[in-house]
Amino acid sequence: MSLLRKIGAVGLATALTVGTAAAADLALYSDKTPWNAGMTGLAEAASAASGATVKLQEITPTDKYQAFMQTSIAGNNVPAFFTWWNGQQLNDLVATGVAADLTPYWEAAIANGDFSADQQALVNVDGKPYGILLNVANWVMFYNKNHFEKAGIAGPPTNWAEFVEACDKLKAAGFTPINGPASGGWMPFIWFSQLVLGTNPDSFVGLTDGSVAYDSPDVQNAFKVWGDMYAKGYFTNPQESGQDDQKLFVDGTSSMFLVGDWHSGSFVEAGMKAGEDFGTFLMPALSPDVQQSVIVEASPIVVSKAALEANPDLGKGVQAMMGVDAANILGSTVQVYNGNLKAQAPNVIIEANKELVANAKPRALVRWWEAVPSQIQGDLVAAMGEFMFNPTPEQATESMSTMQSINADYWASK
Amino acid sequence: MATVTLRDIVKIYGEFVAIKGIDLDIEDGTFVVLVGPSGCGKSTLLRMIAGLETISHGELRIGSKLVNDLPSRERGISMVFQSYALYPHMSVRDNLGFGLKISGVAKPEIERRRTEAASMLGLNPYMDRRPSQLSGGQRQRVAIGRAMVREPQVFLFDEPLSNLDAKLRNQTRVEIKRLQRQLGATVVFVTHDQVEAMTLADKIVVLHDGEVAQIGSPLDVFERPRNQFVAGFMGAPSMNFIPATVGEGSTISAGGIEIAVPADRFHLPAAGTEVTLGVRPEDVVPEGHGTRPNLGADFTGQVEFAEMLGDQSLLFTSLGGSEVVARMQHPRALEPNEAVRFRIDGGRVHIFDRQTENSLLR
Amino acid sequence: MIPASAILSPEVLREARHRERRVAWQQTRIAWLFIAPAVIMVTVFLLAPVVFNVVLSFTKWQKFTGLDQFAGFNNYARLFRVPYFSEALGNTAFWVVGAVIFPLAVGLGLALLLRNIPFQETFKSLYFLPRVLAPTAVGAIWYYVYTPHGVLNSVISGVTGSPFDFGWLYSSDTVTGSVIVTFVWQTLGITMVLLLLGLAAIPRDPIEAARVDGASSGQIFRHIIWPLLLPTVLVVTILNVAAGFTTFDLLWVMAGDYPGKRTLSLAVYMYYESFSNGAWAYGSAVAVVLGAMVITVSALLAVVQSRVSKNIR
Repeated sequence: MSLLRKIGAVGLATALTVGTAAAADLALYSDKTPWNAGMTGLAEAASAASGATVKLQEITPTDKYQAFMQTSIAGNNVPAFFTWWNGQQLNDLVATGVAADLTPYWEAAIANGDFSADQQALVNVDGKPYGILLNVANWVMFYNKNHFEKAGIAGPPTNWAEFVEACDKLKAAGFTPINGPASGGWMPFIWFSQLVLGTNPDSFVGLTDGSVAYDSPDVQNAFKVWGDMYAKGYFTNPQESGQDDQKLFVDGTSSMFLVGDWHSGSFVEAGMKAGEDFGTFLMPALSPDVQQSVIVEASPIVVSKAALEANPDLGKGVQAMMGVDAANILGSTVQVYNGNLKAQAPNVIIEANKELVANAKPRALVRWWEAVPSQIQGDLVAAMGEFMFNPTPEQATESMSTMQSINADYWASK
Repeated sequence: MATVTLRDIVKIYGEFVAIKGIDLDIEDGTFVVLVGPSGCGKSTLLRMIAGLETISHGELRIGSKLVNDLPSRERGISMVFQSYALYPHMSVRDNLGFGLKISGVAKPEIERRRTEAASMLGLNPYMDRRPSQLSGGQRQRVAIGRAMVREPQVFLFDEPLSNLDAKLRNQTRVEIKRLQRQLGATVVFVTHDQVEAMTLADKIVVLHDGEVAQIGSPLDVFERPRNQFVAGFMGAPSMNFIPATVGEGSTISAGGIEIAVPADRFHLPAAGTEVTLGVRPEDVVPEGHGTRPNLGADFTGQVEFAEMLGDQSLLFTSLGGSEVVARMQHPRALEPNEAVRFRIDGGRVHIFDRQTENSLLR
Repeated sequence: MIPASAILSPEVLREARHRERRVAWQQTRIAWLFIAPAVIMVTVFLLAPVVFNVVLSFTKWQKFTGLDQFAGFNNYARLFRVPYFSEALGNTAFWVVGAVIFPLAVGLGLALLLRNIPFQETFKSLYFLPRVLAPTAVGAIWYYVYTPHGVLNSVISGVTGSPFDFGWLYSSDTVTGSVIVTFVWQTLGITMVLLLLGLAAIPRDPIEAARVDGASSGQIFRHIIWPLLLPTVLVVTILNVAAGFTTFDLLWVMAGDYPGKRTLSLAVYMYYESFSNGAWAYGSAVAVVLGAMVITVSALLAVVQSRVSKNIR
């Protein structure tokens, strides 16, 4: 894109936000193309309940979507409904004052048993909820059952030693143990955060609030383990995945893939049978003394405060989107689980993961991506990515020092 | 200076034969003009001598050296182009010196030759100008100067005067001739203008369709054209051609009149043979304008149109259905379609074989 | 020159001036009508966004807020505080040099070769083809040339006989060079066609005159063809300088996975800061600096170009 087109795009986005203010239809904006069928269902449910016309508007990819929302909100033209992210991203958004406080709707939903107070905490800012849950996903290790059988692995590993043993057996059987893509501009944080989490969950949290440095001993340990795993050939080459994150998992090259369980639907689409060809397990910590934890990813739908005040009937739409019917629409159309306690699990994998979590009672943590300040998110991921493309001790040192200088700068400016 | 020798020179472009086997000897220090209508191959022949076109067949020698496969720069020639072909981005000074500089001639020597050429051609006031700042005549002089400084064995000129206006053309023509004499240069000069050819040449080569139609001195070519083509091409306006028959006892019958011709001028075929009579306009003399020729025949013709040229006038009339142009000296005004009595000068007519178009001159 | 007032009476002069002005207006009013839409379009879609962008660069707009806060020159000061800007600037300089020299050198070589051969039109079309493809399509094609198991590495493996899986687009040493090769491939056609046009415009006579004057082919090129082609070369240079400065699409498509992609060029850096990082005001400052550089360099070259073309006329 040329310079002038870029300049034009900024101007145009602002012009657009001014121009559409008087539109009669209300919009539900989303960047989640694969879920369009479910999102349309939600929009229809909200329309039916509120009497307003709510239509799905899709903008992809994610960076363009965020840019559109930023310019819209800066230009004081907030869409009625839009998908967002929790954690710091939600904090930043709520700080602008455009998001509606959804406390009454959450109180009602908890009272009638649709959701729990723990779930509300996923979308809380300063104790008040600012989002309708669209997706609640557990981050688990997917594994290829056929590979495990061929490699002679009895069952899913339950501790780090068993995990390493499984990797070695898979390697010996001719498989690359772990699919390690760096796709989409964000995936490099997956193993970084998992290995810090496995070293010390408190450090994991501390990284995101400025209390722990990115070159602290726990991070150094995580990089050391990560580098050792690369040295032993556990990971696929991220260059070969390119932008297709699941390619090397579904084609049988690699045996395991650590990712959110919203991904299971696309494995099925690629021809793998859920429960038969692949299963899941909770990724164990690096040592038995460290508490088992699980990362929970939640996507909220944010409601415009101004739109809700202008049209109180929209509240009925909010209720409808939090109801069990809406949850079942999401599950049946796009196999997404929004956490509604009365809803059916969309597939066996999500069902099984709920059980895994229920049994192990791990410590649930917000994903690093949402927890870290969004201003430095991209820069930090870039440094992690550099290590994935060049997993040497020297690069590890360089990545850590780069990340820490970005991190220190940010918190110093606060 | 040197001789140039062409032996059976042929040029083909695919299936098209542009030059059909030309033999020519150019003596040292002579001014040779290649003349002919456009498309006759004269420029092609010159460019072959220059080394700008390959020679398909035959031998080209400059001096005694066979130069067929030598590049231009090793042939010892200089060329002046129709468009002058000056280097537009260089000053006059650099235009003159370029060839010497790249050939590695020492600076003082370049300066000496350049000064000499510049003063000979009167270029001194313009040395620092670029070609775009010069008039056509000045550019032409630079082009000639550029050819001179190389002190070549042979000068080649490709229609160098055709872009100049009439007055400048006459002036430059004289200048070129003067320079050639002064330098004693061997010159090959191409033109389609027969006046230029006549005035400049020691030797004229008339080309027609890639072949030599005639080689000779200007007088030779004009007075004794070897065939109807040369006769028609040389001279302006062109020679009149009238269908005729050979009569009894050195006469020619054309358009109903009997014209007496000198008995020893032609190889005349038997009486009754069809031939073509050629008469130049100046040899059709209107009564009362110029000397009345002794030998010849009279006829009366209506003048359809008269073209006034000042000191003379061209009269368009006809004889036995053939159009005839006559030249009137010291012209007078004529009425439209006025009948004028003319006399054809029998001593100066030409007769051509009807089939071969070759001249029957003895 | 004697002034009109010294020759004509005031009445005649007034009437004459009035008539000339009226006729001039009658003759040009239609022209004004026809260019009005273009003037409006340029103002709304080109000038206004540029002004808007300059204004943005003095605000504190980041993510959702700060659009109404004045930042002074803070955004510009930050350009020199963070290492990325100078890194992107260095890469951009590399780009500009590569984008100018390589298409020109290869394009000129091809143009000189193609000038006198049969089927010239066919070759021209072939070389021109990449130009009509969208840059993103070109990027996608070349992405597969450079992937570890892509065309390039397969060829290298085939030639050397040993496996080779270097990631051209993932190493800081090769990523810029690799994309420049693609840029050259894409730009070659238009560069060559422009140079061929320039060559065709050079009269044949001075070249032949130089041959007769004793110049070798190399000397003819150096002393005659090159100086006469220089105006065309400079036009091509201006186009490629601007393209090199603002290259975005190819880098974004081909090096999208490269972790350090942000500093691959100023245009990428500008996009990254604005659209990926939400640093709108800062990104605008980058855009202003980039725009100023493009305009300055292009204007300088344009002045040189007009001087040079005047010299050879």
